[in-house]
Amino acid sequence: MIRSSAGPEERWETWELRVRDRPGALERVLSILRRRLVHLETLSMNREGPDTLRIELRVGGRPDLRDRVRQELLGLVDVQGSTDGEGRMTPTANGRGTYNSE
Amino acid sequence: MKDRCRSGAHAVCEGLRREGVRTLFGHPGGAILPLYDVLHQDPELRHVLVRHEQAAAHAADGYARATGKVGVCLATSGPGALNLITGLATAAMDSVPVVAITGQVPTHVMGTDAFQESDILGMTIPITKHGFLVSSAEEVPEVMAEAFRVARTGRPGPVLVDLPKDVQTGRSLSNPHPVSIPGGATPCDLPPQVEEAVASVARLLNEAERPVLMVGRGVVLSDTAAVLRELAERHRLPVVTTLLGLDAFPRSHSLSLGMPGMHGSARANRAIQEADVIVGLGLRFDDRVTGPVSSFAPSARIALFEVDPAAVGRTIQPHVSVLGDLATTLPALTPQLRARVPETWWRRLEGWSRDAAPRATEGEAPPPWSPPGSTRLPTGREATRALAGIIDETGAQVATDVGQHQMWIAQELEEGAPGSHLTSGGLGTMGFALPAALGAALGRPDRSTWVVAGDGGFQMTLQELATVVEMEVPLRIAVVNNGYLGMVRQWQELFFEGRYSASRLVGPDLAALGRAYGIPSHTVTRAEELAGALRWAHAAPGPALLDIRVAPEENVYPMVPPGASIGDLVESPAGGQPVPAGGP
Ligand SMILES: Cc1ncc(C[n+]2csc(CCOP(=O)(O)OP(=O)(O)O)c2C)c(N)n1
Repeated sequence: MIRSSAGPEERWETWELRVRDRPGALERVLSILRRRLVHLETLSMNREGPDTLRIELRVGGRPDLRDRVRQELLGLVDVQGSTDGEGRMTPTANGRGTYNSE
Repeated sequence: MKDRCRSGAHAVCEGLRREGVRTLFGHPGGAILPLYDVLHQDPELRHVLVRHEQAAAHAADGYARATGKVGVCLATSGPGALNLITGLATAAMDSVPVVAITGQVPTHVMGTDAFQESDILGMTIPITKHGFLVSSAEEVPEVMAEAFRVARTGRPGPVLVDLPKDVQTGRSLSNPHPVSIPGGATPCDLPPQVEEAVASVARLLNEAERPVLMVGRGVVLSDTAAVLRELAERHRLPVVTTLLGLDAFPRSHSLSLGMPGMHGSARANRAIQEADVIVGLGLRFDDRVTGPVSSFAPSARIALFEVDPAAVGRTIQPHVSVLGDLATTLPALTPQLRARVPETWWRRLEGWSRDAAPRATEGEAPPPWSPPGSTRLPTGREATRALAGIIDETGAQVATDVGQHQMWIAQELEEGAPGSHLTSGGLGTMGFALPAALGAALGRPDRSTWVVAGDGGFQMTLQELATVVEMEVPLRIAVVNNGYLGMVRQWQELFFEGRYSASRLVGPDLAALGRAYGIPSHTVTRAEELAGALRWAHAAPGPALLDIRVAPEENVYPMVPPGASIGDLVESPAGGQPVPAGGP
């Protein structure tokens, strides 16, 4: 497996994503993690409501890479919000995802 | 028609019209027939039947690049949808807004490997901004509105709308209510952290001794070329334009240093390497621009204006980043600038060549490669310089393909309004030029449109000559024909000891082929015929094709050897032969 980083730089943190349950939403999240070479330690998913999924991720890699990837996840249309490593929730701009600010 | 009888397909067409779409590019098939049936009866929507779905995606892309609007392409399920993939990836890499509508097998057989079923939503996830699988006809109006909004906002990009056949035929009982999607308002005031970042950039520039502006496609997308020009002129700031930013700031301008990167000018590359402040505007510091990141701009403080927070720092980590649309952030910078660039910096810049190849100036002997009036073939440089000349002179738009001719044209174009230079920069997709030009010409009939392609790339999508003829699109098509996959041959010559593995092309007679499609066509075999042939093509009332035979083994210079710092460019063939990495 190609890893973004390893060794002394490696840090782990846990994010919680709130995602709208629409076709491809989970795959899109995973696709970004894979493409951007984030190291994934654990992944779990729960249904929060008829329409909403909660995805918990434990990710590794350089802090700057992780931050960028979290930004990219926040930009997805179906991602409604994400906590950062400290557990602070960042909602997307208008609550339904904008893929980058408008 | 009564609202109660509207089908999902009607709702799709209505959505398209509501978004201002007039032209779309596609190819029908079983799973999208209901939509085609409605389309057929819609006088406001012009459907262009391409001969391969890849061309539909490229044409939608070309339409979008030239007009600034969202391009639309259509395909059936399975093989039709899959043929779109290269085009969607091309659009994604270059931030082009495209909506792709695909037919899908009916919902009740999805997941059974039904005839022509493919998981196009899954397969396009990494190359689209978003994808919708529409599960009922009722959802159509909202999905259409959202698809267009997502495609054009933020960093633009392709969006897929997958429409199962029964959704197209299903009743869309609800009225075609106006769809309101929250968000989308542009804030008038910059958020405080953005304001602060702009102030930091102003401070950097005000204190700089050797500043450089690096301009990318973001300036074209945000329609800020005029703001940029005023700012650069007021402070005499040197401007470097990337391949996709060429049409944001004309190279003819005295402040332009040309293009940076692998085939960039000495002036642009050396300026970057010596700069103490670099301000990037809407570019992503692609590896073809930077060379090895560790050796890029070693003494510069770097600032970046970027709309996509996730794109900041992928290669170069800027010291300051200004997040937001350039249309709001760039005007905020202007009033804070005081500095005028020191003359010493300009004197230094002028010591490096801005031209890729020498030009004859008045009273000077012509450079050794210029036509001596003999019967020899033109060189690729001569052909592309002449092409760029007529494109500039006539204010035309041009779509280039990928390879040597693409770099030559990029080096030679001097003018160009925003949206007039179309090329596949990020993905480097051969076969792009002809279909993209088709889309661009239909989107901007007021501009004359040229295609410049190599004999390799041209043969990847040349079936679209039929579409060009059918739609009576007056494209001027120039194939720079060197009988090789030229850029591949160049790499093999320089880095693989001249072993030309699978790069020789034995082509058809392209002029005969052009005529077979009904296009007046000429073959150019002598340098001295060039000028006349280009005038002929320019004056042609409809499409015209030139097969320009050029010297077979010529290389593109300047060239930064792969793996080298961009300051170590080789300006002419005498230079060294370094170690390869990556590829053409
Ligand atoms: C679809 C695709 N396949 C392969 C390549 C790799 N490639 C880059 S340039 C090039 C040669 C292009 O040859 P040609 O179209 O004749 O143009 P020239 O370089 O001779 O101007 C190739 C094969 C590519 N960019 N795109």
